[in-house]
Amino acid sequence: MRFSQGLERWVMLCVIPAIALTVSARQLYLSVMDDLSTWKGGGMGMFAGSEALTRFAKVYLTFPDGRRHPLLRLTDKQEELKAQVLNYPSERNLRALANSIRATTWWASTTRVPLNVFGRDGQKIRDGTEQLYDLYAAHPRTASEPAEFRVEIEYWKATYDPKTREYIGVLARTFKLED
Amino acid sequence: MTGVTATVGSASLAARLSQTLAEIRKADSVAYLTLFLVAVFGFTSWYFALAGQLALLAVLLVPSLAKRPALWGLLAIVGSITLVLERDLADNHKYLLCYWLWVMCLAHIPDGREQRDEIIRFNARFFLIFIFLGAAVQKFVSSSYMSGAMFELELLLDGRFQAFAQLTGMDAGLGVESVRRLLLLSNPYVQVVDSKIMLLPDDRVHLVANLITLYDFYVQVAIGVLLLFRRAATDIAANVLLLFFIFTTYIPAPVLGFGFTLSVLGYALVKERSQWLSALYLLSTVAVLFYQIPWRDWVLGT
Repeated sequence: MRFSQGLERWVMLCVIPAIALTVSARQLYLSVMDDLSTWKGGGMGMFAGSEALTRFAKVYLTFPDGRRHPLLRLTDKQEELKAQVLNYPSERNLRALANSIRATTWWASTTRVPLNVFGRDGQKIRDGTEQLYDLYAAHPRTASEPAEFRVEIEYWKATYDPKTREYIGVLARTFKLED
Repeated sequence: MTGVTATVGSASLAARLSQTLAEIRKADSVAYLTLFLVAVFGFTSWYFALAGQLALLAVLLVPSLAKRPALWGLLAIVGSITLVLERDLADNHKYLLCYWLWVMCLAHIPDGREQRDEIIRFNARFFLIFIFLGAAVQKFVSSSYMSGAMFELELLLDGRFQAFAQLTGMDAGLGVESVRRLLLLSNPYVQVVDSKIMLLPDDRVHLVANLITLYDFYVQVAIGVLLLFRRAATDIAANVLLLFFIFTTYIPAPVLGFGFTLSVLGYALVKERSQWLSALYLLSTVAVLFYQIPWRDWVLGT
């Protein structure tokens, strides 16, 4: 009887801490193995990393003839999905963003934007030779409009060195949504 | 005569304040504070907001409901559903709120007040240690924290810290130009040579970032370690540091819900033991609310 009461007392005291420690261990694992942000997922790493400032994604539409056009203007919902990707670039989150983009009809601007080249001081070095269309979300794609493009999402991570003041972006992963 | 009257008046005011504080401590004030936390700084999903508002209304009308485990269980279940749906994207302090709701549910299951208070105190101590030592470990192993890079980036690039950075004397133009360069790097219509840009921190940004890093790391380690000892002297030191942390950190840090949660945990820990620490924790909840005033807009003139 006394043992059972003691056990009950310890269960009441420790069950929530045990759950919190388990969730925290999962968060740490996903943070190390799958790049889950330290700010998210139940660890206690707020202000431990600057993921929001050192991660970015570039989205492209690729066409059968080899053209590859960037997408800068996503819909609000797609911006939300992109933020999820940056917090946790898992297969599931990348696929959700890619599927949403694929389910949209995109219209091109009439003028083209030159792909200019900039230096590390943020100044333009030269005009780009390649010119690309600016794409806008038109409306959700209907069944009668086949998607003649594939979606590519580049997930970039950056490092910053306070001594050299250099901020360097590195392409960490490219996700391709095939047919 | 006036002097005697004034002395008697101030003594009477102090006695009344002391009496009021004693009544607050005797009441279910941890439960009330938690309910306030739920209503004001809870999850933003409509179903959690609705559940929190209904619970608050119910307790305002029938205060004894705050002692019912069913009320806390309901809030904890709705919070848990929200967390499961957003499990990898919910902020860490939302998890903390959910754990605390389950603690409140469990604590109100036993009939005796003594056992309820024991569960609340034990968990308040655990979660304070968990928060601060967990944060310290994550900061220690982080690739960008101990070098000062993290706070340097926050001061330069995070708009939420812009006003604070200006108050410390940072030239606003440095942040604007650094953000412009960062936008170039992340823009798919632009090529940046070697994917490399130079940010523009000056010596002041560097110094402030390093000072914040040292303060933030060591105060968190100190609070977590001191609470581990479970001795009166170390507990007092930990609580003083925690109060200092709450009163200072949440002026610039834009996570007031977390600050309020720390105040509730601290209060739960000292409620039965120290009148003046209890009073200071209650004051810290008020301070956190005042930190919501738009001081950043005033500083930036926006």
